Amino acid sequence: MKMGIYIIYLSALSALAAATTMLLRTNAFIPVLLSAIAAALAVGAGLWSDRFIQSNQKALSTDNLPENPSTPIPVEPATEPIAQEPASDESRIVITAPLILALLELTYADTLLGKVPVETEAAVFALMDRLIALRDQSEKASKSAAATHGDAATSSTINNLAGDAKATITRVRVALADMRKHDKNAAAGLQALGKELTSGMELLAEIGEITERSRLIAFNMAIEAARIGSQGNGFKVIVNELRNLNDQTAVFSKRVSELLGRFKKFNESLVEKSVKDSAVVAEEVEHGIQDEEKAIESLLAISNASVALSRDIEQVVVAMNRDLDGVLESLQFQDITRQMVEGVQFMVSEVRSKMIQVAQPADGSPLAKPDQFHINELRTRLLALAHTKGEKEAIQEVII
Amino acid sequence: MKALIVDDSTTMRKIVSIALGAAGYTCEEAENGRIGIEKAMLGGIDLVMLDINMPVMSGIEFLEAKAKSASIAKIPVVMLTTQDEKELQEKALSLGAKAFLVKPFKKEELLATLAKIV
Repeated sequence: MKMGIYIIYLSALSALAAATTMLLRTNAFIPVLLSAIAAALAVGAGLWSDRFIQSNQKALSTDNLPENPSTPIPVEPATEPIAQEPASDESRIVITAPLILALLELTYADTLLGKVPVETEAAVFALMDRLIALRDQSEKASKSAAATHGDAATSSTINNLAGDAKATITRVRVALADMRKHDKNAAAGLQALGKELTSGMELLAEIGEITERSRLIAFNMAIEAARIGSQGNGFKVIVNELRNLNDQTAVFSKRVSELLGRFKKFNESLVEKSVKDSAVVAEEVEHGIQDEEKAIESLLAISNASVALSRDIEQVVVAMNRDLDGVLESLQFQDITRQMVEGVQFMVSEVRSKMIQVAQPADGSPLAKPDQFHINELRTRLLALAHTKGEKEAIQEVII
Repeated sequence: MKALIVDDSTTMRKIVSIALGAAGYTCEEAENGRIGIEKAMLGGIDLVMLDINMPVMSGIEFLEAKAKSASIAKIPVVMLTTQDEKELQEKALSLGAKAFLVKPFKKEELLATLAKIV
């Protein structure tokens, strides 16, 4: 009956080990551990089976024990046999020593399963919480960027505004060119006026010469009037009037000449100032236009950079969501693995209890101990298989 | 929308909670069917995500108990379990479950299922 139970246990464990091995392709030590468990169980079951046969045959020798390639432990009496074991019961010693070695391996397996890290999931969840917080912040940033600059409508509006501003600048440049042309024409007009004034002043100078000649004529006429006596009295009156006229003409010419001179100076200063001021204004307007053009280019660059940034953030959020989904899926495998490890641990514990019952001598005496040589051999073999600190610690704890 | 996640695994409850949270659900958790029934009876639950193999009260027993209680009978239930035997699926569906998902599940798969039934 007991043998049947063991066979069921073994079958279940072997199936579980195989399934877990397939599931845990990336986890190296658990398949090795499960193999060790299966091997230990195989030894236990084989020995139990032998014991069953031997107890029925009532005859036993070491030559009759089956060889088990997975546990190459020579079947021989323990160097320190059970103290109260009757010396005559050789069969019990032969059976229990390897069985207890197998039990030792099961204890190791049980201990090792208890050392499977349980903090992994908590650590991953903590990391996920941070990633989720970061993802949420990134989403907010992305939405803000889109609302401020990043969306297509806003970007289009900025481009339209920039286009309008550029058109305005073009119109201002045209107006500025017109203004320069107008100023130039005005300056030319003033310069022409200056020339006309100069011509007027030259004419006045000629009038002065005519007046001098007229005075000379009047003087000669006065001499001629004096020479002809009383008959020339009427002629004297005319000569005097002529003199007065010449004097008045000279005064008038002088005043007009002075006036034209002032006009000419004023005109010259006006031309000079107009040309100078026009150049200054044109230069300032040009600087203003250039600054505005730079501002527009900067606005467009910022707008484009903002759109690109918004898109980058969106892509980061998408990538983070994809990664988070991957982590969630991995955690499910982790959870399933943990549950299977717990199942295996339970079954190992159960089988170990049953094997202890089988190995326990009927008279209640202590279990036989394997000799130290076999324990050392087992430790050496397990250490060679161990890859992790936990495995080595478990060996040091159990295989002593 | 409020979902009740009934599963004996803390990890799985949190995983499902995160997945549903991304779809705008708020989540309640229960570690077995009996606690699940008690929380559902309090009201306000729009969806139940239900494991099968749990201590105290299994998922199948939860479905049977839910069907008998008029106040919670109409809450849609999505089974979420590692057990994918056809007989089990048929039994769960016959007891009123709306869909059957197998762990490990993909978030898109879960959300697509919910979009069909909720």
